[in-house]
Amino acid sequence: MTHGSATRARGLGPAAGAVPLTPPPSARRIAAWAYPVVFAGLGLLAVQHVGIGLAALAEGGDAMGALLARAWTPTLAAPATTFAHVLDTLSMTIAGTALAVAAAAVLAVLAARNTTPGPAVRSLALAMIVGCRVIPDMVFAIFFVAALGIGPLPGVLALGLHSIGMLGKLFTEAVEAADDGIGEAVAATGAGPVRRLLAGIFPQAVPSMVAVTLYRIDINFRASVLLGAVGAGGIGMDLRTAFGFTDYREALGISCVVVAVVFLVEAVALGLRSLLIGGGRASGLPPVRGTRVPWTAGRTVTHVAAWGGLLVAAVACWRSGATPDAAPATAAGSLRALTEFFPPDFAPVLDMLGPGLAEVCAIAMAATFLGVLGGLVLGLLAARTVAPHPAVRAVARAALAFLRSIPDLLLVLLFVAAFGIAEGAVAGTCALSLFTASFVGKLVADTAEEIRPGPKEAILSTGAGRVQELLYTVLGQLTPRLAGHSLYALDVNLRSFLVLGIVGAGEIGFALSRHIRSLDYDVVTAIVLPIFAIVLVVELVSASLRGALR
Amino acid sequence: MNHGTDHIVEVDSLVKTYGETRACDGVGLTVTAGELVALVGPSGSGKSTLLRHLNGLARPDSGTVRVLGVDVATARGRALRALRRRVGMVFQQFNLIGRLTVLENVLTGALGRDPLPRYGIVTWPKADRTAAIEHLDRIGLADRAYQRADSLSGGQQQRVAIARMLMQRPELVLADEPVASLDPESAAQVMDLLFRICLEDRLTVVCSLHQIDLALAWTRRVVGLRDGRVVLDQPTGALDRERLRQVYVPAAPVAVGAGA
Repeated sequence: MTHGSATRARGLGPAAGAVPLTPPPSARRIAAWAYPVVFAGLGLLAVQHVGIGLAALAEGGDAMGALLARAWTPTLAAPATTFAHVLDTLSMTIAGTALAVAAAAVLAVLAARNTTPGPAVRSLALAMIVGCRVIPDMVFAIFFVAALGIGPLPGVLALGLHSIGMLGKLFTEAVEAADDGIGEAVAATGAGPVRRLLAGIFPQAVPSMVAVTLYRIDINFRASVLLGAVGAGGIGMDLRTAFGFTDYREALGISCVVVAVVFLVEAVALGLRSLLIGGGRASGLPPVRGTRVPWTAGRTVTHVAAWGGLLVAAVACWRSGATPDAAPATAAGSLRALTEFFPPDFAPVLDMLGPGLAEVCAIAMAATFLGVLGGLVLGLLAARTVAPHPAVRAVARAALAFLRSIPDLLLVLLFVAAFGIAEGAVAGTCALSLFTASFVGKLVADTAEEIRPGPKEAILSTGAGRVQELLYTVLGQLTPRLAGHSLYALDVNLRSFLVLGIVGAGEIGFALSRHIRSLDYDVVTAIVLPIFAIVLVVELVSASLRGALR
Repeated sequence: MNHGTDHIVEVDSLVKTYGETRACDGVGLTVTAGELVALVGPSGSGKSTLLRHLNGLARPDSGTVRVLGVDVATARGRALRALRRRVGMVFQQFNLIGRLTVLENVLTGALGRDPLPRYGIVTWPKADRTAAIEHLDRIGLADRAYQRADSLSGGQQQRVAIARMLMQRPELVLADEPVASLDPESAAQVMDLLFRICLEDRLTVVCSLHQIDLALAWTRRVVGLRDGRVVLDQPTGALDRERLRQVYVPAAPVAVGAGA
C-alpha cells in the first residue's frame, strides 16, 4: 500500500459522490446477514414444531416443582452400594482414559509430521484418530454391550476408543510443536530413533499431554454416567433405575452424589494440572552431590504423580476388567457383534424414519436456538470484558459452573420425569437447551474475555451508550466465533438423540430404546446411520460458513 | 467560548495513582479555544493519564478537571456521554474494529448523537453514510470505504480513525501518541493530515507526543511532563531543542541519552 494519497488535498480523491451508499454484495456480507436470520427462523420454526409454548413451559414448570416436592428429601437406600457404583464409574473413567492415552500417544507419534515413519503410516494414523472422534462414545458403548454383555468393560472400551479422537489430535499437535533442534542434538550424540523420541521430543510434549489428559478425565467422568445407563455399569444404571421406578427421593439422592463427584473430579483435575504444570520450576540451584539427582519439590511432585497415576490406572483397569486376558473374548465378541449390526435393516423403521428424523432435527434446532440465546446472555455476563459489575460476573460464573456439573443424562431424566414421556420431545428439548446453554455459555465467556479493550474505549469515547457499544464490540469482534459456537452446539444436539434414546423420549428415541432392548442391532444401525449423515451435512455447512465469515 | 470564558480545558492539582505509581502528581493545565498543544515527556511521565482524564476514561483521585465547561471528574451517565460526544479522541493503536468495513468504522463516530443501537452499514441513516463518505474523502480513502479495516496499512488505519473522530463533529481533539506505532514517513503524513484538518476546522488540539521534532514542527505550545508533574509550558516559538531535551533528563542524572 502506498501512502501517497495521504497528502492528497481535499476533493482530489475519487469524488465522494462516486462511492455507493450501500456496500457492494459479497459472499461474506450475504453470509453474515443470512446466517443469524436463517438460524433464528429455523429455531423459531423448530420451537413451534416441537410444541414449546408458554403454556407448555408453565405446565412443565409446575410439574417440575411437584416432582422436586415429591423428591424432597433425598435419600440413599443403600449408601454403600451407591458409593461402590460411584467407584465403579470412576474406575471406568480412569481405565478408559488410560487406555486412550496409551493408544493416542502411539498414534500421535505415527501421525505427527516430525516423527512419522512415512506418509502412508501418517495418513492411516490420522484416519484412525478422526474415526474415533466421529463415532460418539454412546455408539461404541451400545456396540460393546452387545458384544460383551452388561458390565464395566464395554464402558471402558467405549470411553477409551472415543477419547483417542480428541487425545490423538491434541497429542499430535503437541509433538508437532516440539522443537526439532533438541531431537537433532540428541541424534547427534549417536542415539537411535527411539531414544531420540524419548529424550528429544517427549520431554517437550509431556506438559501439554498431561494437561489434555486431565481435562479429558473430567469430560469422561460426565460421559461415563451416561454410559452406565446403556448397560456399562456404574452409577448411571442406578440413576436410570431410580427414575424408572419413579423413586424420586432415591433419584435425587443419587443425583446429588453424582453432581458432587463431578465437582470433585473437576477440582482434583484442576489442582493436579496447576501442581504438575507449574511445579517443575525449582527456585534456586539445588545442591549437587556426586551423580545423584537431588529430590527438589518439583521432582518429588512429578514422580509421585507419575508413579501414583500409573498405579491408579492399573488398579482401575483391573477393577473394571480391562486386563490382557479379556482381549481374546473382546475381539471374538466384537467380530460377532459386527455381523449383528451390519447390514442395517431399514424395513421395521422405514415408515417412521422420515417424521422421526424431522423430529430429531426439530429438537436439536430448537434446543440449539434456545440454548444459544441463554448461553449468549449468561456467557457475556460471565466475561470480565462485558459484565456490568464484578458481582454479576461472579453470579453468572457460578451459575455456569453449576449447570455444567449436571450430566446431560440427568437433565433429560429429570425433565422427562416431570413432563411425562408423552411430552418427551418437549422435555428433551428443554433438557438439551439447558445443557446447551451451559457449554455455549462457557465458550462465549472464554471468547468474550479476549475482546480487545482498545476498540471498546474508542467507541465509548464517541459518547456511545452501553448497548450501542456492546453491539459493536461484541458482534464486531466475535461474530465468526459465535457462529462457530452455535454450529458446534447444533452438532452436539443432533448427536444427543442418543441420550433421548436411552430414556425413550421422542419418536426416534423411543424406537432406538425399543430396538436396543429387543437386541435388533441391525435396526439400531439403520436408525443411527441417517443421523450421522445429517451431522456430516451440518459439519460441511459449518466449515464453509466459517470460511465465508472469518 | 459560550461558557463565559474561552477555556476549553481547565485542570487543577490532578492526582491519579495506579497501585504504587503516581501517574499524575498535581498536574495543572489550561487550554484556550483554538490552541494546538503538545504534551511531551518520557514514557511513564503521565501524558496518557492526563489525556484520559479529559474525556472521562479515567477518574482522578483528587483535583478538578473541567472540559468545555463540564466537570468531568464527577460527570456520569448521560452527562458524561454528552461531553464525550464533543471531545474526539485519536489513539496510538487506532482502535478500529478490524473485521468491519472502513465506512462502518467511521460511522461509529456518530453513535454518541444517535439514540438508537446500530449494527451494519444499512442500519445507518443515508445522511450519516453520506457524511462518513465525505470524511473519508477528506482523508483520502473514500475508495477504500468497503474494504475491511484490518486490510489497511497502519498509516491508513490511523487516517480512518481520524475520519471517525471527525464524524463526531468534536470541539476538542485529544490525540494519544497518534503516530507512535507508525513508520516515520506515515507518521509525518498522519501528523500533517491531523493538524491541517484541525486548523481548517478551528479545533482545539491536545496531543501527546514523545518525538520532540514532531512537537516543534506541528504545535504552537509545548507542555512538558515528568514524573506526573508539569515541568515546562512554553510557546513553541520560544523553545529550543536543548530546553526541550531537559524534560527528558531524569532528576537524578543516572541514565544516559534518555532522549528523543
